[in-house]
Amino acid sequence: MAPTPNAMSVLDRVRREVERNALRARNGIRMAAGIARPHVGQSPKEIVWRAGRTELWRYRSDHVRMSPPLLIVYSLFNRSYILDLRPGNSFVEHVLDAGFDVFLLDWGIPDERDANNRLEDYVDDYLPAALERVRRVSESSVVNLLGYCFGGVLSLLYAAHHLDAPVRSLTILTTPADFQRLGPLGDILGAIDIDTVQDVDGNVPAEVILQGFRSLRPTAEITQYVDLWERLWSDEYVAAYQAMTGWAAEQVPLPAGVARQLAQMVHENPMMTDRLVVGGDRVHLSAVTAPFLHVLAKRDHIIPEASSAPLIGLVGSPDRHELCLDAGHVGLLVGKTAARTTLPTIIDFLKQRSEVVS
Amino acid sequence: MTDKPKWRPTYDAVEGMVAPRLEALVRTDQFSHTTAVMARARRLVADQVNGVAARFWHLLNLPTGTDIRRLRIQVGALDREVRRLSLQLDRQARQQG
Repeated sequence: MAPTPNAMSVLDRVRREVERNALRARNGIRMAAGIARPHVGQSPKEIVWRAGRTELWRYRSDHVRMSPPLLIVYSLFNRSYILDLRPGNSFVEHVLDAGFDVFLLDWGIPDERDANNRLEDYVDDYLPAALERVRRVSESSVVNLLGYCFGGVLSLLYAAHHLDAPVRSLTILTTPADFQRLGPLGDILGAIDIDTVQDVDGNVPAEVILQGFRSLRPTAEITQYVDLWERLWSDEYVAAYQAMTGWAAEQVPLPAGVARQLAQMVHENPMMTDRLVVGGDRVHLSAVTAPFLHVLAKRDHIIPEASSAPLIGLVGSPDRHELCLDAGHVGLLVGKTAARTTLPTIIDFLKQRSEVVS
Repeated sequence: MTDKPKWRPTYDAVEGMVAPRLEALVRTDQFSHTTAVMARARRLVADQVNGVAARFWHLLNLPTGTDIRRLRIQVGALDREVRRLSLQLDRQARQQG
Protein backbone atom coordinates (compact mmCIF):
# COMPACT_ATOMS: atom_id res chain seq x y z
CA MET A 1 0.00 0.00 0.00
CA ALA A 2 1.39 3.41 -0.95
CA PRO A 3 2.17 5.69 2.03
CA THR A 4 -0.40 8.40 2.72
CA PRO A 5 1.07 11.87 2.10
CA ASN A 6 1.49 13.84 5.28
CA ALA A 7 -1.14 16.61 5.05
CA MET A 8 0.80 18.91 7.40
CA SER A 9 4.08 18.57 5.54
CA VAL A 10 2.37 19.32 2.22
CA LEU A 11 0.72 22.35 3.76
CA ASP A 12 4.03 23.42 5.27
CA ARG A 13 5.73 23.09 1.91
CA VAL A 14 3.07 25.17 0.19
CA ARG A 15 3.28 27.82 2.91
CA ARG A 16 7.07 27.83 2.69
CA GLU A 17 7.01 28.20 -1.10
CA VAL A 18 4.53 31.09 -0.88
CA GLU A 19 6.76 32.82 1.68
CA ARG A 20 9.85 32.18 -0.39
CA ASN A 21 8.24 33.52 -3.54
CA ALA A 22 7.32 36.71 -1.70
CA LEU A 23 10.94 37.02 -0.53
CA ARG A 24 12.17 36.22 -4.05
CA ALA A 25 10.02 39.03 -5.42
CA ARG A 26 11.28 41.46 -2.77
CA ASN A 27 14.96 40.55 -3.23
CA GLY A 28 14.57 40.49 -7.02
CA ILE A 29 13.17 44.03 -7.00
CA ARG A 30 15.94 45.16 -4.65
CA MET A 31 18.60 43.69 -6.93
CA ALA A 32 17.04 45.08 -10.12
CA ALA A 33 16.72 48.52 -8.54
CA GLY A 34 20.27 48.37 -7.19
CA ILE A 35 19.01 48.88 -3.60
CA ALA A 36 20.82 47.27 -0.68
CA ARG A 37 24.12 46.73 -2.42
CA PRO A 38 26.48 44.69 -0.26
CA HIS A 39 29.07 46.52 1.80
CA VAL A 40 32.51 45.22 0.89
CA GLY A 41 36.00 46.06 2.15
CA GLN A 42 34.60 47.21 5.50
CA SER A 43 37.60 46.69 7.81
CA PRO A 44 38.75 50.13 9.01
CA LYS A 45 41.99 51.23 7.36
CA GLU A 46 44.06 54.25 6.54
CA ILE A 47 46.25 55.14 3.59
CA VAL A 48 49.86 55.37 4.75
CA TRP A 49 51.56 55.83 1.38
CA ARG A 50 50.55 56.69 -2.15
CA ALA A 51 52.32 56.90 -5.52
CA GLY A 52 50.44 57.24 -8.78
CA ARG A 53 47.36 55.04 -8.53
CA THR A 54 49.05 52.80 -5.97
CA GLU A 55 48.05 52.99 -2.32
CA LEU A 56 49.40 51.29 0.78
CA TRP A 57 46.69 50.62 3.35
CA ARG A 58 47.19 49.87 7.02
CA TYR A 59 44.29 48.13 8.73
CA ARG A 60 43.43 49.49 12.15
CA SER A 61 44.01 47.17 15.05
CA ASP A 62 44.19 47.73 18.80
CA HIS A 63 45.59 44.33 19.55
CA VAL A 64 48.76 43.90 17.47
CA ARG A 65 50.73 41.23 19.31
CA MET A 66 52.78 39.68 16.49
CA SER A 67 55.89 41.01 14.80
CA PRO A 68 56.97 41.51 12.03
CA PRO A 69 53.97 43.03 10.24
CA LEU A 70 52.28 41.43 7.23
CA LEU A 71 52.38 43.14 3.84
CA ILE A 72 49.83 41.77 1.36
CA VAL A 73 50.66 42.37 -2.30
CA TYR A 74 47.52 42.25 -4.39
CA SER A 75 47.19 41.16 -8.01
CA LEU A 76 47.07 43.47 -11.03
CA PHE A 77 43.70 41.86 -11.91
CA ASN A 78 40.36 42.52 -10.17
CA ARG A 79 39.84 44.60 -7.04
CA SER A 80 41.55 43.91 -3.75
CA TYR A 81 38.39 43.92 -1.61
CA ILE A 82 38.06 40.17 -2.22
CA LEU A 83 40.54 39.89 0.67
CA ASP A 84 38.15 41.82 2.90
CA LEU A 85 34.90 40.78 1.27
CA ARG A 86 32.32 40.94 4.06
CA PRO A 87 32.42 41.01 7.84
CA GLY A 88 32.79 37.39 8.92
CA ASN A 89 34.16 36.36 5.53
CA SER A 90 37.35 38.36 5.35
CA PHE A 91 40.94 37.20 5.06
CA VAL A 92 42.11 40.54 6.45
CA GLU A 93 39.84 40.15 9.48
CA HIS A 94 41.37 36.75 10.26
CA VAL A 95 44.99 37.95 10.15
CA LEU A 96 44.09 41.00 12.22
CA ASP A 97 42.44 38.73 14.80
CA ALA A 98 45.59 36.62 14.84
CA GLY A 99 47.43 39.71 16.10
CA PHE A 100 49.27 40.87 12.98
CA ASP A 101 49.78 44.46 11.90
CA VAL A 102 48.31 44.18 8.39
CA PHE A 103 49.20 46.30 5.35
CA LEU A 104 47.82 45.89 1.83
CA LEU A 105 49.37 47.20 -1.37
CA ASP A 106 46.55 48.09 -3.75
CA TRP A 107 47.51 49.02 -7.32
CA GLY A 108 44.38 51.09 -7.97
CA ILE A 109 42.76 51.45 -11.37
CA PRO A 110 45.27 52.04 -14.16
CA ASP A 111 44.65 54.84 -16.64
CA GLU A 112 46.62 56.28 -19.56
CA ARG A 113 49.43 57.28 -17.17
CA ASP A 114 50.04 53.57 -16.49
CA ALA A 115 49.84 52.29 -20.07
CA ASN A 116 53.61 51.87 -20.33
CA ASN A 117 54.02 50.31 -16.91
CA ARG A 118 56.15 47.18 -16.92
CA LEU A 119 56.64 44.54 -14.26
CA GLU A 120 59.77 46.43 -13.17
CA ASP A 121 57.63 49.42 -12.18
CA TYR A 122 55.94 47.26 -9.60
CA VAL A 123 58.81 44.98 -8.63
CA ASP A 124 61.67 47.50 -8.50
CA ASP A 125 59.93 50.79 -7.70
CA TYR A 126 56.54 50.52 -6.00
CA LEU A 127 57.09 47.38 -3.95
CA PRO A 128 60.45 48.39 -2.40
CA ALA A 129 59.09 51.88 -1.62
CA ALA A 130 55.93 50.45 -0.05
CA LEU A 131 57.92 47.90 1.93
CA GLU A 132 60.17 50.67 3.21
CA ARG A 133 57.09 52.62 4.34
CA VAL A 134 55.76 49.53 6.14
CA ARG A 135 59.06 49.18 7.98
CA ARG A 136 59.03 52.84 8.93
CA VAL A 137 55.45 53.12 10.21
CA SER A 138 55.52 49.76 11.98
CA GLU A 139 59.03 50.35 13.33
CA SER A 140 60.01 46.87 12.24
CA SER A 141 63.20 46.00 10.40
CA VAL A 142 61.60 43.13 8.44
CA VAL A 143 58.15 42.16 7.12
CA ASN A 144 56.20 39.04 6.28
CA LEU A 145 55.32 39.27 2.60
CA LEU A 146 52.18 37.67 1.12
CA GLY A 147 51.32 37.78 -2.58
CA TYR A 148 47.91 36.85 -3.92
CA CYS A 149 47.58 35.43 -7.46
CA PHE A 150 49.55 37.73 -9.77
CA GLY A 151 50.64 39.58 -6.62
CA GLY A 152 52.49 36.33 -5.91
CA VAL A 153 54.41 36.70 -9.17
CA LEU A 154 55.31 40.30 -8.26
CA SER A 155 56.41 39.24 -4.75
CA LEU A 156 58.52 36.40 -6.14
CA LEU A 157 60.20 38.61 -8.73
CA TYR A 158 60.84 41.21 -6.03
CA ALA A 159 62.40 38.63 -3.71
CA ALA A 160 64.50 37.23 -6.57
CA HIS A 161 65.73 40.63 -7.75
CA HIS A 162 66.32 42.09 -4.27
CA LEU A 163 68.19 39.36 -2.49
CA ASP A 164 68.86 41.64 0.49
CA ALA A 165 65.12 42.38 0.82
CA PRO A 166 64.02 42.66 4.46
CA VAL A 167 61.59 39.75 4.15
CA ARG A 168 61.07 37.40 7.11
CA SER A 169 58.82 35.02 5.17
CA LEU A 170 57.17 34.76 1.77
CA THR A 171 53.67 33.36 1.37
CA ILE A 172 52.11 33.18 -2.06
CA LEU A 173 48.71 31.99 -3.17
CA THR A 174 47.56 30.56 -6.50
CA THR A 175 50.63 31.81 -8.33
CA PRO A 176 51.63 30.47 -11.75
CA ALA A 177 55.10 29.13 -12.48
CA ASP A 178 54.63 27.21 -15.73
CA PHE A 179 53.15 29.81 -18.06
CA GLN A 180 52.76 27.26 -20.84
CA ARG A 181 50.32 25.27 -18.73
CA LEU A 182 48.03 28.16 -17.92
CA GLY A 183 45.30 26.63 -20.07
CA PRO A 184 42.99 28.67 -22.32
CA LEU A 185 43.98 31.97 -20.69
CA GLY A 186 47.62 31.34 -21.58
CA ASP A 187 46.69 30.15 -25.08
CA ILE A 188 44.74 33.35 -25.76
CA LEU A 189 47.51 35.49 -24.24
CA GLY A 190 50.09 33.72 -26.39
CA ALA A 191 48.07 34.00 -29.59
CA ILE A 192 46.70 37.51 -29.31
CA ASP A 193 48.45 40.66 -30.51
CA ILE A 194 48.20 43.04 -27.54
CA ASP A 195 48.10 46.06 -29.90
CA THR A 196 44.80 44.83 -31.33
CA VAL A 197 43.06 44.64 -27.97
CA GLN A 198 44.50 47.65 -26.21
CA ASP A 199 42.16 50.55 -25.65
CA VAL A 200 42.71 54.15 -26.70
CA ASP A 201 44.15 54.82 -23.23
CA GLY A 202 46.90 52.31 -23.96
CA ASN A 203 45.64 49.66 -21.50
CA VAL A 204 43.97 46.33 -22.15
CA PRO A 205 40.34 47.17 -21.28
CA ALA A 206 38.67 45.62 -18.26
CA GLU A 207 35.90 44.20 -20.52
CA VAL A 208 38.44 42.23 -22.59
CA ILE A 209 39.95 40.73 -19.44
CA LEU A 210 36.48 39.96 -18.08
CA GLN A 211 35.49 38.18 -21.30
CA GLY A 212 38.75 36.24 -21.17
CA PHE A 213 37.98 35.01 -17.65
CA ARG A 214 34.35 34.27 -18.53
CA SER A 215 35.38 32.17 -21.51
CA LEU A 216 37.21 29.80 -19.13
CA ARG A 217 33.85 28.59 -17.80
CA PRO A 218 31.30 29.31 -20.51
CA THR A 219 28.28 28.04 -18.57
CA ALA A 220 29.23 29.42 -15.16
CA GLU A 221 27.29 32.65 -15.56
CA ILE A 222 24.05 30.84 -16.42
CA THR A 223 24.55 28.47 -13.49
CA GLN A 224 25.07 31.45 -11.20
CA TYR A 225 21.71 32.84 -12.26
CA VAL A 226 20.06 29.44 -11.75
CA ASP A 227 21.61 29.21 -8.25
CA LEU A 228 20.44 32.72 -7.53
CA TRP A 229 16.85 31.97 -8.59
CA GLU A 230 16.84 28.90 -6.39
CA ARG A 231 17.98 30.81 -3.31
CA LEU A 232 16.79 34.31 -4.06
CA TRP A 233 14.57 34.09 -0.96
CA SER A 234 17.62 34.04 1.32
CA ASP A 235 18.89 37.50 2.29
CA GLU A 236 22.22 36.01 3.37
CA TYR A 237 22.70 34.20 0.05
CA VAL A 238 21.73 37.26 -1.97
CA ALA A 239 24.20 39.45 -0.07
CA ALA A 240 27.01 36.90 -0.57
CA TYR A 241 26.03 36.47 -4.24
CA GLN A 242 26.06 40.21 -4.88
CA ALA A 243 29.43 40.61 -3.17
CA MET A 244 31.05 37.74 -5.09
CA THR A 245 29.57 38.36 -8.54
CA GLY A 246 30.12 42.09 -8.12
CA TRP A 247 33.79 41.43 -7.44
CA ALA A 248 34.16 38.93 -10.30
CA ALA A 249 32.65 41.41 -12.76
CA GLU A 250 34.65 44.35 -11.48
CA GLN A 251 37.79 43.94 -13.53
CA VAL A 252 40.38 46.66 -13.91
CA PRO A 253 42.34 47.51 -17.07
CA LEU A 254 45.77 45.94 -17.44
CA PRO A 255 48.68 48.15 -18.53
CA ALA A 256 49.60 47.09 -22.06
CA GLY A 257 53.30 47.11 -21.09
CA VAL A 258 52.63 44.40 -18.53
CA ALA A 259 50.32 42.50 -20.92
CA ARG A 260 53.14 42.34 -23.50
CA GLN A 261 55.53 40.99 -20.87
CA LEU A 262 52.96 38.37 -19.86
CA ALA A 263 52.55 37.30 -23.49
CA GLN A 264 56.35 37.00 -23.66
CA MET A 265 56.34 34.91 -20.49
CA VAL A 266 53.83 32.55 -22.10
CA HIS A 267 56.17 32.13 -25.10
CA GLU A 268 59.44 31.85 -23.18
CA ASN A 269 58.23 30.30 -19.90
CA PRO A 270 61.13 31.94 -18.02
CA MET A 271 60.40 30.61 -14.53
CA MET A 272 60.56 27.01 -15.73
CA THR A 273 63.62 27.56 -17.93
CA ASP A 274 65.44 29.70 -15.35
CA ARG A 275 65.66 32.61 -17.77
CA LEU A 276 63.92 35.28 -15.72
CA VAL A 277 65.05 38.83 -16.42
CA VAL A 278 63.94 41.69 -14.17
CA GLY A 279 65.08 45.23 -14.87
CA GLY A 280 67.76 43.94 -17.25
CA ASP A 281 69.21 41.52 -14.68
CA ARG A 282 69.05 37.73 -14.82
CA VAL A 283 67.38 36.53 -11.64
CA HIS A 284 66.91 33.03 -10.28
CA LEU A 285 64.03 31.76 -8.17
CA SER A 286 66.53 29.36 -6.62
CA ALA A 287 68.15 32.42 -5.02
CA VAL A 288 64.97 33.08 -2.99
CA THR A 289 65.80 31.62 0.42
CA ALA A 290 63.21 33.19 2.74
CA PRO A 291 60.85 30.75 4.50
CA PHE A 292 58.28 29.99 1.83
CA LEU A 293 54.66 28.82 1.72
CA HIS A 294 52.75 28.22 -1.50
CA VAL A 295 49.00 27.69 -1.32
CA LEU A 296 47.37 26.33 -4.44
CA ALA A 297 43.98 24.98 -5.43
CA LYS A 298 43.17 21.71 -7.20
CA ARG A 299 40.05 23.10 -8.88
CA ASP A 300 41.56 26.45 -9.84
CA HIS A 301 40.29 27.20 -13.38
CA ILE A 302 42.24 30.48 -13.65
CA ILE A 303 45.67 29.32 -12.50
CA PRO A 304 45.46 25.52 -12.99
CA GLU A 305 47.30 23.28 -10.56
CA ALA A 306 49.58 22.17 -13.43
CA SER A 307 50.79 25.75 -13.78
CA SER A 308 51.28 26.55 -10.09
CA ALA A 309 52.49 23.17 -8.74
CA PRO A 310 56.10 23.36 -10.06
CA LEU A 311 56.82 26.52 -8.07
CA ILE A 312 57.73 24.80 -4.81
CA GLY A 313 60.58 23.00 -6.58
CA LEU A 314 61.94 26.20 -8.14
CA VAL A 315 62.54 28.35 -5.06
CA GLY A 316 65.71 27.85 -3.05
CA SER A 317 64.19 28.22 0.43
CA PRO A 318 65.30 25.39 2.73
CA ASP A 319 62.17 26.10 4.82
CA ARG A 320 59.49 25.64 2.14
CA HIS A 321 55.98 24.30 2.34
CA GLU A 322 53.09 23.68 0.03
CA LEU A 323 49.38 23.47 0.80
CA CYS A 324 47.24 22.08 -2.02
CA LEU A 325 43.53 22.29 -1.31
CA ASP A 326 40.45 20.91 -2.97
CA ALA A 327 39.11 24.38 -3.74
CA GLY A 328 38.73 26.87 -6.56
CA HIS A 329 40.74 30.02 -7.22
CA VAL A 330 38.66 32.28 -4.99
CA GLY A 331 37.53 29.52 -2.60
CA LEU A 332 41.05 29.44 -1.19
CA LEU A 333 40.51 32.75 0.55
CA VAL A 334 36.75 33.16 0.71
CA GLY A 335 34.15 30.87 2.24
CA LYS A 336 34.18 27.68 4.28
CA THR A 337 37.34 26.00 2.92
CA ALA A 338 39.24 29.20 3.57
CA ALA A 339 38.00 29.56 7.14
CA ARG A 340 38.55 25.85 7.89
CA THR A 341 41.91 25.18 6.24
CA THR A 342 43.65 27.94 4.29
CA LEU A 343 43.52 30.75 6.81
CA PRO A 344 44.56 28.68 9.86
CA THR A 345 47.47 27.18 7.85
CA ILE A 346 48.70 30.58 6.66
CA ILE A 347 48.32 32.12 10.10
CA ASP A 348 50.12 29.18 11.70
CA PHE A 349 52.97 29.47 9.15
CA LEU A 350 53.27 33.20 9.83
CA LYS A 351 53.10 32.83 13.59
CA GLN A 352 55.85 30.22 13.62
CA ARG A 353 58.10 32.70 11.82
CA SER A 354 57.14 35.71 13.92
CA GLU A 355 57.51 36.83 17.51
CA VAL A 356 54.96 37.70 20.14
CA VAL A 357 55.34 41.30 21.25
CA SER A 358 54.01 42.77 24.46
CA MET B 1 12.67 16.38 2.45
CA THR B 2 15.19 17.95 0.10
CA ASP B 3 15.39 21.71 -0.47
CA LYS B 4 16.29 21.29 -4.14
CA PRO B 5 13.49 22.12 -6.57
CA LYS B 6 12.39 19.34 -8.93
CA TRP B 7 13.76 21.08 -12.03
CA ARG B 8 17.26 21.42 -10.62
CA PRO B 9 18.54 17.88 -11.37
CA THR B 10 17.41 18.35 -15.00
CA TYR B 11 19.37 21.60 -15.27
CA ASP B 12 22.42 20.02 -13.62
CA ALA B 13 22.28 17.07 -16.03
CA VAL B 14 22.07 19.34 -19.11
CA GLU B 15 24.78 21.62 -17.77
CA GLY B 16 26.94 18.59 -16.98
CA MET B 17 26.68 17.52 -20.62
CA VAL B 18 27.13 20.93 -22.24
CA ALA B 19 29.81 22.50 -20.02
CA PRO B 20 32.66 20.02 -20.72
CA ARG B 21 32.06 20.33 -24.48
CA LEU B 22 32.14 24.12 -24.37
CA GLU B 23 35.20 24.09 -22.12
CA ALA B 24 36.93 21.69 -24.53
CA LEU B 25 36.09 24.04 -27.38
CA VAL B 26 37.61 26.97 -25.50
CA ARG B 27 40.77 24.92 -24.97
CA THR B 28 41.38 24.34 -28.67
CA ASP B 29 44.06 26.22 -30.61
CA GLN B 30 41.37 27.17 -33.08
CA PHE B 31 39.46 29.08 -30.39
CA SER B 32 42.47 31.16 -29.31
CA HIS B 33 43.33 31.89 -32.97
CA THR B 34 39.72 32.82 -33.77
CA THR B 35 39.68 35.13 -30.73
CA ALA B 36 42.88 36.78 -31.97
CA VAL B 37 41.52 37.16 -35.51
CA MET B 38 38.25 38.63 -34.21
CA ALA B 39 40.16 41.12 -32.06
CA ARG B 40 42.19 42.18 -35.11
CA ALA B 41 39.06 42.51 -37.25
CA ARG B 42 37.27 44.55 -34.58
CA ARG B 43 40.30 46.82 -34.30
CA LEU B 44 40.45 47.25 -38.09
CA VAL B 45 36.79 48.26 -38.29
CA ALA B 46 37.16 50.66 -35.35
CA ASP B 47 40.24 52.23 -36.97
CA GLN B 48 38.37 52.70 -40.26
CA VAL B 49 35.39 54.34 -38.54
CA ASN B 50 37.67 56.56 -36.43
CA GLY B 51 39.67 57.47 -39.55
CA VAL B 52 36.57 58.74 -41.36
CA ALA B 53 35.42 60.73 -38.32
CA ALA B 54 38.94 62.11 -37.83
CA ARG B 55 39.16 63.33 -41.44
CA PHE B 56 35.90 65.23 -40.98
CA TRP B 57 37.00 66.96 -37.76
CA HIS B 58 40.47 67.69 -39.14
CA LEU B 59 38.84 69.43 -42.16
CA LEU B 60 37.38 71.83 -39.60
CA ASN B 61 40.83 72.07 -37.98
CA LEU B 62 39.49 70.49 -34.80
CA PRO B 63 41.13 67.70 -32.78
CA THR B 64 39.39 64.36 -32.45
CA GLY B 65 38.88 62.34 -29.29
CA THR B 66 41.63 60.04 -30.54
CA ASP B 67 44.04 63.01 -30.85
CA ILE B 68 43.31 64.00 -27.25
CA ARG B 69 43.75 60.44 -26.00
CA ARG B 70 47.02 60.08 -27.89
CA LEU B 71 48.21 63.26 -26.22
CA ARG B 72 47.10 61.94 -22.83
CA ILE B 73 49.09 58.74 -23.40
CA GLN B 74 52.17 60.84 -24.20
CA VAL B 75 51.64 62.90 -21.06
CA GLY B 76 51.04 59.61 -19.24
CA ALA B 77 54.42 58.28 -20.41
CA LEU B 78 56.07 61.43 -19.04
CA ASP B 79 54.12 61.06 -15.79
CA ARG B 80 55.45 57.50 -15.47
CA GLU B 81 59.05 58.63 -16.00
CA VAL B 82 58.69 61.32 -13.33
CA ARG B 83 56.99 58.87 -10.96
CA ARG B 84 59.75 56.28 -11.40
CA LEU B 85 62.48 58.90 -11.02
CA SER B 86 61.00 60.26 -7.80
CA LEU B 87 60.71 56.72 -6.36
CA GLN B 88 64.32 56.01 -7.34
CA LEU B 89 65.46 59.33 -5.80
CA ASP B 90 63.62 58.44 -2.58
CA ARG B 91 65.39 55.10 -2.54
CA GLN B 92 68.82 56.70 -3.04
CA ALA B 93 68.08 59.26 -0.35
CA ARG B 94 67.18 56.45 2.06
CA GLN B 95 70.34 54.52 1.20
CA GLN B 96 72.52 57.61 1.76
CA GLY B 97 70.68 58.83 4.86
